[in-house]
Amino acid sequence: MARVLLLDSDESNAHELSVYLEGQHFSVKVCRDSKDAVDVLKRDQNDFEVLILDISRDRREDWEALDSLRRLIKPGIPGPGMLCLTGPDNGADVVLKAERKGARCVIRR
Amino acid sequence: MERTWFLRRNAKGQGVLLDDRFLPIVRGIEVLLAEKRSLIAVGPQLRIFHRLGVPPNRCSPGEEILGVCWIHRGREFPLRLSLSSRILIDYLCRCRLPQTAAQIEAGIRADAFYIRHGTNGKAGSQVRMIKKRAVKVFVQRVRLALRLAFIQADVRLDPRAILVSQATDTNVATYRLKVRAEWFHV
Repeated sequence: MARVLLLDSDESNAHELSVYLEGQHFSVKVCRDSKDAVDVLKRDQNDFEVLILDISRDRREDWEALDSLRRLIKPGIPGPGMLCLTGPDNGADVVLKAERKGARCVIRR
Repeated sequence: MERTWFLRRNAKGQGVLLDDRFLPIVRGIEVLLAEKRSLIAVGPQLRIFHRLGVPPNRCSPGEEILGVCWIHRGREFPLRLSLSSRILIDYLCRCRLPQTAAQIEAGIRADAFYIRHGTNGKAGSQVRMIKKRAVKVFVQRVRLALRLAFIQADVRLDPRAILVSQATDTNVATYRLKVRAEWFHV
């Protein structure tokens, strides 16, 4: 069972997605803010295979969270992959910016 | 907003009803997991470009190793390598078994592809014979080139896990390149 760390400040969104992913047999740990996520990742980075975070073009703290999580990932082949979720109103530049930071990007419906 | 629900099999093979809003997220996770599995199983993908070949022969003596690129998510990241380092990478990609510095030197010296490297061109000598004692230095240079490419792509990979050196039963080290290589002829 793949373990997923989900960072989303919106509680209802995070709950809905985590319930859904658990139904898909992913094990999900939800963090409300980046500090919490950094602490969890520092404790047991190897336990997670995917990190999911919600990003928006205008929220600088989202990009800071992405950078701080990225910095924590130790070089090595089995590091966790990063998946950024962004709204349809954010343009292709957000997707490109996230992908240049080594993440994959998914546009929320 | 109207939602579409549909039936899909989960990891345990059970049928579950899914809300299609989240489907791209599940797909994204699956792609990341597949990417990771591939990295663990076969390592990153390298594309080695040969030129000056005489069709229809491929990888024949006289060709030149033009360059080596690391392929990541469909993009090419050229490795900044000298001629000797390109020869070392090409050789290690062909020989999948771990080899000592002495075996690498002997293998390159015995292979007509490297003995006549680049001789189909009209430029100066493109032949390089890597000496046993220099292998360690070239290994470090290749790792540095990989590191620079990984930094460029912002990917957290350790070059030492890709160009692997392992101790043998004596103090001699063996070298192995843990990559999936493909050769392109241009």
